[in-house]
Amino acid sequence: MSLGDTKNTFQAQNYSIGYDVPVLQNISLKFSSPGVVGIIGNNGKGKTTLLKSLCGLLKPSAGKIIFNDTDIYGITNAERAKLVSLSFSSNHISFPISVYELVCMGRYPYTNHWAGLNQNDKLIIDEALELCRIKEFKDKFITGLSDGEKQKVFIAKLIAQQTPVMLFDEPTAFLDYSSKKYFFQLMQKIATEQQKIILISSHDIDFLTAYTDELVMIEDDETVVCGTTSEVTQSTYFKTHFTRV
Amino acid sequence: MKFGLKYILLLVILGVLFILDLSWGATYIPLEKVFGVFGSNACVNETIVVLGFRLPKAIAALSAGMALSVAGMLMQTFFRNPLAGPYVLGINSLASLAVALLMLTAGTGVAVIIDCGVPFAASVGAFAGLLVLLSLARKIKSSVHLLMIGMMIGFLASAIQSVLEYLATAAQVKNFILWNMASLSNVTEYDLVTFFVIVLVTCLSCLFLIKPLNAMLLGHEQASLLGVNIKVAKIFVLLATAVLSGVTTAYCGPIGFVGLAMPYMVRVFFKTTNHLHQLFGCMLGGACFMISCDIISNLPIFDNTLPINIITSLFGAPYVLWLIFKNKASFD
Repeated sequence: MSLGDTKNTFQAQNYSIGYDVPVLQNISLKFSSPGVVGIIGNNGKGKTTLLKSLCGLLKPSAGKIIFNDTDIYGITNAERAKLVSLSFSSNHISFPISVYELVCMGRYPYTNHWAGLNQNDKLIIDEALELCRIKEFKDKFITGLSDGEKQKVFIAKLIAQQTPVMLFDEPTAFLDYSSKKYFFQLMQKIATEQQKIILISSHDIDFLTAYTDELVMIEDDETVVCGTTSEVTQSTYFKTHFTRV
Repeated sequence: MKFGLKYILLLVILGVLFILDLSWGATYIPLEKVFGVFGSNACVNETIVVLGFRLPKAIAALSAGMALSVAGMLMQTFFRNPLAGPYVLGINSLASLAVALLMLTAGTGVAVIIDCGVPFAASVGAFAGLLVLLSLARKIKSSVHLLMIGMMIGFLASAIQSVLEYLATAAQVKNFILWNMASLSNVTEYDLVTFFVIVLVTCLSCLFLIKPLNAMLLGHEQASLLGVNIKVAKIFVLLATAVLSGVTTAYCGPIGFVGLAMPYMVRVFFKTTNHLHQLFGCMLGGACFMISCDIISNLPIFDNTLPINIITSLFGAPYVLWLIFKNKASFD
């Protein structure tokens, strides 16, 4: 049975994170597939730190991050790359990588030393290009694209990586309105059809409240609140900080 | 043009240039006589010139071109910066400093010791540079900071070198400046085999770095998220760079420009950043470029053989500028 057919869980158990100074302390979160989860919080409150920690880039100072029964800090990079993936908020590339080559990199956790692609990899890449509506410029160089187009390419790379847990850090920051809407609809579809757990950090509150099942809210005092979207949006902190009135 | 055709084109160009390098020089030797040297009815004089002088020089050019181009490619990818090269990391600077210490502080009557000691000193210097870099790479995560530290090491080594030059005798300074201009003729036949084998083995071992190198173009964190063991990959990339640039400096002197320009030329020619094509492209392209420079430096229009460093920059820089302007639109 493949990972996509099973119910997966992704959880943070009593864990604390931070660089030199602790950012978030003693947090416990649990997500199950299928699920689209929004992460909200004001600037500098630790959303990116939280995502980096969840994907294995920033080891927690205490506690564990568990996918099903696997501690993601207890496995190799190669093994982890098949479980959790992250799309960064900004992607500065100085070299002229073609869109197709970049999306191909999403298959790296599954390829040999020479990054050779088999027929299945190529099908997955084509599907990711189509889902992100970037097939028409797949031969263009990333250096010549707009910020919004670049963002779509990196989303396609993450889709091609096919991990059961997908993390996005501000994926819609440079997208136009219709592309933002399409992105959230696509994430809902992928989460449901492929049993994924998708975490999206964003400042697009309207879209998050409309398209997510759960919200993780980091408050100004670094308290982390997690609940269903309807529960979190009823809280006083949410109403004070994330609504127009 | 498909990749296969591009490789064939480069191989043909390399073959033609290699033969021309054996034929052209201060004395022109017709092609049939060049080929005759490898046969049974060879003339003694031509055999001495071709086999004793020009062939080793052509193989040295081929090896140096491959080594420096691949080292440049590794550094540019490692630092995600098209301006990086073996020079900016301080490896070559420390190799040069070690040679300066030997050539500028030894007495005038120890020419033999200097001749034998230069490759050794350059190797020690390059190895010291590598050790400094490896220890720093373990502690410093930022590639930009590592690049700046490499540049500062380079400046520091140059300053010490200048002090040594200031204090040395005119004869010592002249010898050092000549070495600093680099030469392909100093490699002995015995050293040539070692030089070529080290370069070829190191370049081919980079085949195991193809995936990490491709992923590194997105940044070290992204590479890590794609399953690359970034700590191990960093060490192997730095090690390969130090070996390639160190061994070339040891045998030929500090040759500039090739490591900086060739990876760019290869990217333009192959129109891909896939390191499988970059690696073979740099090996073939670097060899072609260096042999071309060697041919130009030996043309009879110059009274003497021109130092190779003058040729690489004098003819290479305008060509790269032309490529940049020609390909600007297609690479944007």
